[in-house]
Order: sequence, then structure tokens, then C-alpha cells
Amino acid sequence: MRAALGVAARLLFLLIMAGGSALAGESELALSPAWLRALYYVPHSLGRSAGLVATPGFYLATTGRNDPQQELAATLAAFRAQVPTKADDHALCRFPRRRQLIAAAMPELVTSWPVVACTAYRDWREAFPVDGASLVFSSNYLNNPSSMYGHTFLRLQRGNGTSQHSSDLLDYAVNFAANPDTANPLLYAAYGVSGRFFGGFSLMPYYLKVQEYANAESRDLWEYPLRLDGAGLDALMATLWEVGPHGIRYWYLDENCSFVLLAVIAAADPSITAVDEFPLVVAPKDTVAVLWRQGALGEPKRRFSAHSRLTLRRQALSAAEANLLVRQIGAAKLF
Amino acid sequence: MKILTSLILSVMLSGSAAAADYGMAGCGLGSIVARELHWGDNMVQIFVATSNGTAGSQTFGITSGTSNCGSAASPTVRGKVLGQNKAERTVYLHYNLAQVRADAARGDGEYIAGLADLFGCRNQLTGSYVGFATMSQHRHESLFNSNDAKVVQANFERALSQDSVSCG
Repeated sequence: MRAALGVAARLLFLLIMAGGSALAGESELALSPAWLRALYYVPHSLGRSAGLVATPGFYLATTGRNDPQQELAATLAAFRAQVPTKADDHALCRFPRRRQLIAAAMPELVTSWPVVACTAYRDWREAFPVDGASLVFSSNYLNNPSSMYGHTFLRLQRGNGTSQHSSDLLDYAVNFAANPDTANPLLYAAYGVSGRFFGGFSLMPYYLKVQEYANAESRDLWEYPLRLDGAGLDALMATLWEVGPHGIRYWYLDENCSFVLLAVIAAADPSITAVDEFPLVVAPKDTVAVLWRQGALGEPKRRFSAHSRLTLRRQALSAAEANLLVRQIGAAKLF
Repeated sequence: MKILTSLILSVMLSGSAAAADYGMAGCGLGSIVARELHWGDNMVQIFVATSNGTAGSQTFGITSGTSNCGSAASPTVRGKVLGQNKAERTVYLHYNLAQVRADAARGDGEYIAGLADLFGCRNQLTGSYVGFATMSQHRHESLFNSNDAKVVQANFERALSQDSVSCG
């Protein structure tokens, strides 16, 4: 009898401890950098943090933009919820990055989630097989040296890990910019309601960015490989899926777009603390510099613009060759 | 949304007035496309081989020819859809025609390499696409007899179905 009571007491104790540790895990995760970054929180006035995402549906709790604990609680509740008719609308499918973090921090919760086939996310991942990512910095306009900003975007290296032969041009680019497509219903609503400036994400073939910058605008592209392993790339795609359809309010018209990419990278790799330096780090060249200092980037590869290629070839000519060229094309002066 | 998506896609692929002279001028392409390609469905449609008509007629398969490009003997390179997706070829040619044409005349270059990938015509072991590039150079005049990407694409498909082009 006493033994049975002892067992019961120990079971009770274990039960309480288990519940306690789940709670402890929850509050620990809620305040962890990884969770804050997955929610796109950035430092704000008076040492507080707030979420960057401005369109409805990204934060599940009404206070989700300011309260990471409430947002975690709301996310946990949404993860447990019944699967709707359109399974892709379930939170487990809409928030794969949060799912990764919660599953890692509180693995005991995974069994309490419904089984849901996230077909849309799976199709998207299969459509964009990625085996590397780079931060691409476009230099300034050559004819506008006073421009100090440049632009950054992400390049997702296409692949399935078995071969490295396909052309870089067939990679994908993720851009964040003002005046995104207004065909996006979420952004359209946000524009209409607020009348404020929003930026949005777009995903396109990399060759379009090459055409835009290197071929049409004479801007060299500097491609800095991001040091992300397989799990990091998985996290990057997951966070892009979460935040991609959403709009982000611009605090500063020009500078903010580069910072948003920094936030995306930090959401995939919480060890990147550059995001905490906001708003000191906002210009594209600053975001590259701070990531470089933190060792998040590999050696860059430079993609010469059409103008740079021409200039380099012109410089390689001897004086006699240059004269001959000038006579051939009938130009008095070569750039 | 589906209708909108199809509309955007068809406008883009049928060569709207805005896109008609893209190849030569090459101005502001990114901005045009940023408005046309959005986050989600339509991008997936372009990048995943579909059989519902948006990706073009599947009856004109190059695998029926003597070329081993894109056939089972030459599996796709990187990514599941590479070398199988006709829509992606169209869009690629649409936006890069001037560069592809120049590379083909030279017989090499990353734009002709990219096209070789999209035709599944690169040796997976060696990464070589010399067979495709050489064919493009030899048949340059007949391949690039138009500024319409769809015509050029059809020319390539026909050439690959006629020629014995060895990949690599």
C-alpha cells in the first residue's frame, strides 16, 4: 500500500515536473532570439521590440506585434487546432519556420498536433529546389557616384544537391521593394486601409535581376554566399514562405528594404545578431558590412555589368589597338 | 486568383506590347516583371512543368527526335524541373533573347549554357554543353529568324528533333 502510494506520488511529481518543464520551455522559447527573429521583431524605442510585418494574418495574437509570449501561445493553439477544409490554411502549413522552432524547443508537443498535408508548401519547395543562398549587392550607378546606397537582394541557388552544372542565370532572386504588386490581396487591403508605404517581396528568375542591373543599368553585382547549412537553407525557405506574401511598413523609404533582407537572413539563422543594430544599420552597404564582420558571408563573386566588361576590354587594348578601334567604329573618343 | 494568375501568365507569354521590344532595349525589365510575377501560384506554375496547357503543347516533345536532349538518358540537371519545363524555356528566351543570340553566334557563353540546361542538354557528369552550343552556332541563321521567343523556341525544338545532337 505504501509502495503504491509512493509510486502514485512519484508519478504525480513527474507529471507536475513535465508540465512545468513544458511551460518553462515555452517561456524560454518565447523570449529567445530565434523566436523573436522568426516573428520579425526589431529593436524599437525605449528598448522594446516590435514586429515589422504590417499586413493581417502574420501575427496570430491581437497583441502579436508587441508580445512574443502571447504570439507563441496563439501559435501553439493554432497548431493544435482542427484541420480546416482547405488544409493549406492550417497554421502548421502557413508557419513552417515557427513549426521548426517549436518542434526543436518542445518536441513533446509534436504528437499533439493534427496530421496535415501541407500540399502548397510542399509544391512550392519542390518548385524551388535550393542548395545555397547569396546576398547580392548591386553597386551604385556608375554615372551617379554620389549615390551611396545601392541595393541588395537574395539569390537562391537552384539545385538538388547532386550536380553543380546548371547556369547561375537559372537561379532565383528574392527581392524586397516598395510598391510591390498590388495584385496581392493582402497588400492591396493594407494599402487601401492605411494609405501608408508598404514594401513587399517578389520571387523571380535570377536572370531578370541580371538583366535589370548588369545589362540595363550598368551596375556590377557582388554575390556574397551566405554561410547557411542544409538546416539553415530549410529555415530560410520556411521563413520566406511565412513572410513572403506579407507587407512590411517602411520606416525609411530608401534604406529599409535592405534591412528587411537582413531580418529575413536573421530569421533563418538566429546567430546573426546584426538585426539588433537597427536602426543604426540600414543602408545596403551597411547590411553587407555588418554581415561580413559577423562572418556570415563568404568571399564575393563579382558579376560585371555590360559597361564594366566593355571598359575592362577597352583598358586591355594597347594604344595602337585603341586607335585602330576608334577609326573602325568612327568614334572620336571612347568613353 | 487562379484566373488572375492565368491572365498574368498569358499576357506575359503572349508578348504584350510592353514586352515586345524587351530583348533589344533591355530596359527596366526587373520592374516590369516585378509587377507581373508575384509571390506564389504563378511562379510555381512557371517553374513546375504543368500539363494543363499553360506550359504549352506537350505534343511537340523533343524527346521524340534523335537528340538525347531532355530524354530519360539525360536526366535533369539541378532541380526536378530543369530540362522538362517548356514554359520556363519560353520565359527565359523571352527575356534573354539578345544575349542568347550573341552567345550562340560565339558558340559559347552562360546564356547559351542556361538554354542548354532548360533543354536538358548538358552532360550531367562533365557539365559540358558543347554539342548544344555548336548546333546553335551552326544553325544560327535559321534558329534566330525571329524576335519572337516562341518562334525561336519552336526552331530549337525542331532542330533538336532533327539533328543528332549529343549532349556534352
